[in-house]
Amino acid sequence: MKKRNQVLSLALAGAMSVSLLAGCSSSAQGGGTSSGSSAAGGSSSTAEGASSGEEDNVIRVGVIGPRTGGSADYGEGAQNAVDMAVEEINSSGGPYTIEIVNGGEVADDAQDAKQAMNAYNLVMADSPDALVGSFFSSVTLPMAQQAAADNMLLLATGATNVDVTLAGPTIFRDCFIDPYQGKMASLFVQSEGYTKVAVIYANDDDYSNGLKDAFIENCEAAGIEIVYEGQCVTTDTDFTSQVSQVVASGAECLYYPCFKDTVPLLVSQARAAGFTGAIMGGDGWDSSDITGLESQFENCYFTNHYSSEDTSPAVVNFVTKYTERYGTETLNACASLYYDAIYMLYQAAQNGGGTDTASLVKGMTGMTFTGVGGTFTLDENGDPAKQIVFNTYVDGQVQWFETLGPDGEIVAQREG
Amino acid sequence: MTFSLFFQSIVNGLNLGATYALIALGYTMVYGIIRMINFAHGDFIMIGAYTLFYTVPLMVNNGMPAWLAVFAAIVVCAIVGVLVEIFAYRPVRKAGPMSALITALAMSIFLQNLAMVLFGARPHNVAAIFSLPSVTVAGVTISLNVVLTIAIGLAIMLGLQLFVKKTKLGKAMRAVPQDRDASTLMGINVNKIITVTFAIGSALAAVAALMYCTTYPRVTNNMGTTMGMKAFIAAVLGGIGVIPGAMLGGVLIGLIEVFVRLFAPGWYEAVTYGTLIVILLVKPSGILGRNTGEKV
Repeated sequence: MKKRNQVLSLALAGAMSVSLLAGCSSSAQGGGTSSGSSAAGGSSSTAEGASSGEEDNVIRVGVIGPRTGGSADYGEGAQNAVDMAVEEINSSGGPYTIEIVNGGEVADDAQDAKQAMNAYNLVMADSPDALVGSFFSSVTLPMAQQAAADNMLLLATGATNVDVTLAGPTIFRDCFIDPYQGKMASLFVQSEGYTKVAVIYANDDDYSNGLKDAFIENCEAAGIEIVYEGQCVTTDTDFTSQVSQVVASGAECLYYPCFKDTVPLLVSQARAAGFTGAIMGGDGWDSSDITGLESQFENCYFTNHYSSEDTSPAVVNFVTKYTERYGTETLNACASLYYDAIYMLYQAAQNGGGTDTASLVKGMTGMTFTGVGGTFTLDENGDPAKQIVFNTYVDGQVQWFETLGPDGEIVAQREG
Repeated sequence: MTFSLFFQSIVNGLNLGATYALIALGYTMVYGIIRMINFAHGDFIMIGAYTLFYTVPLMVNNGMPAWLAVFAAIVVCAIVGVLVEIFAYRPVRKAGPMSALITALAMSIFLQNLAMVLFGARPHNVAAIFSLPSVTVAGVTISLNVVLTIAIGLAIMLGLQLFVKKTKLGKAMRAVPQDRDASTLMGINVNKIITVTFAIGSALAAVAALMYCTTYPRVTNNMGTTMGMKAFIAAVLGGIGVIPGAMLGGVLIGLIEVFVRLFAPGWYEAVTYGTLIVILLVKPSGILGRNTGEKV
């Protein structure tokens, strides 16, 4: 009974704040785009009115991520990063504090769409103000639809599929989108001077399809020939058939936009089949385990959200603190995205002047944010235009290669 | 299709098929003796693979060849197999085939979750066990690892066939499924025979794990599920309970998968599972199986 009352009061508060915000929508939009204290000051009276009796300056956040399954170390990184961000924010003495619902735990989606809805319901039972997650597009898509229907703020982390933020105005993300990543990969192919490329993608996965489509489209537009297009499914372990055809097709470069748990298998089988060209992937390659495959991973590249070798202060700060507390094993892009997400919510509360869902949505719309993933502004869909990092492997270690800006310009490049 | 691609695919198919065949042998052994499909067999491979993952570095650090780790895997798998038989299957053996089947499925899920708790959910790369070079013949790159895998598979099938046909224990193993009560009267300890069968079947899983990890050096807690299913299809295709049938079925399934993937990559699983349906409709006893008209 008590719980029901709580939910009811929250719903009422939400409804009140929505109706109040409707009255000053023009000023809200103006305040949303320019981050900082002026916006917060402009709408602070609204927020106080909306949440009288309810406002405790605590942002209650539900976090969802892959804690088990083939990408469990992403979830581990997410949990660590969220713990770290929350601790930093709560000890900073700022106007708001953050509480992670579900007992501080990242709810497990097991990289599975059905499990994701269980995780969604689990965190929603604690009536949060906002949700963060999840990392995979196929998992996040159904959650985004439900969150849009529930009028809940969902800040997706690694879900790069275009459709995620199109589900509704309360859905945002802090990562780039699939077509962008595929396009950047094709620009890279162009700059390396390859003329024949092959693609192997997982046809049962939204992410893989998204990257493949954009890659092929941009390659063809640039006059690069796609000599082989092969399919697999995400659970495959045998790629001998596909890689033999890649070798037979005479491709100079193989694009494999799939997830890290199968990347070592594909690369080792491609090399065993005699493929010596470049093998490229997307952010799904991040923190692939390449133990014992150091030589096979020479001449492999992948796009990513950030590089731990980047020298910007935000990255250095994050990497140093994270490594001190948790080591480098789970220091992946996933961790950085969840870390940024928590800070984005904090900034959204400041921008929007409140910790209820409506204020957070208002604060987040059109926000400009600087974090581990660089400085970016959310567009009308809630997608950021971000820089992209190219990594390669040297002696079995991931090495930062270059960083490209949103229009393909080189932002920074490894010296020498 | 060029000749080299065709030839390469044959080699790929044989390699995949040899692994399936060895797993199928495990199914067939157990089914042949106690008429039970041990769905946890795929997970015995997972246990073997984890044992390899932990023991290969130990062997290498102590200056021994990495493949010796397979003996550790065989011992661990055999012990797990026997324990599973004694604690899970034996109590329900009299309750009928359906109970045994469900117990086996439950065991499979239990082993997977146990592995997740013990070893974590993250996939691990198994260190290279054989480091044989690749040779290029007529434009086809063949890894000698693959040749070795196929050779091991053939040798084990031959050895097993000899064991069952020529030894006294083998004779007892053939007697038990024919008439359990009569075997007991003839002085055969049925429980002991079944335990030995499980030990051998599980030891085969360890060898299958070795072969699998040579080509696909990755171990996860749920690796046994799909592999187990494919091998089960192979066993049924060749004729479950028949040792050469398992080998034939395994190689056929391997070749089918590789060749279907050449022409219609998205279809290979549909074709593999479709094969099972076709064989069950056309010749339920399998290619090499005898039509005994058994009541199920």
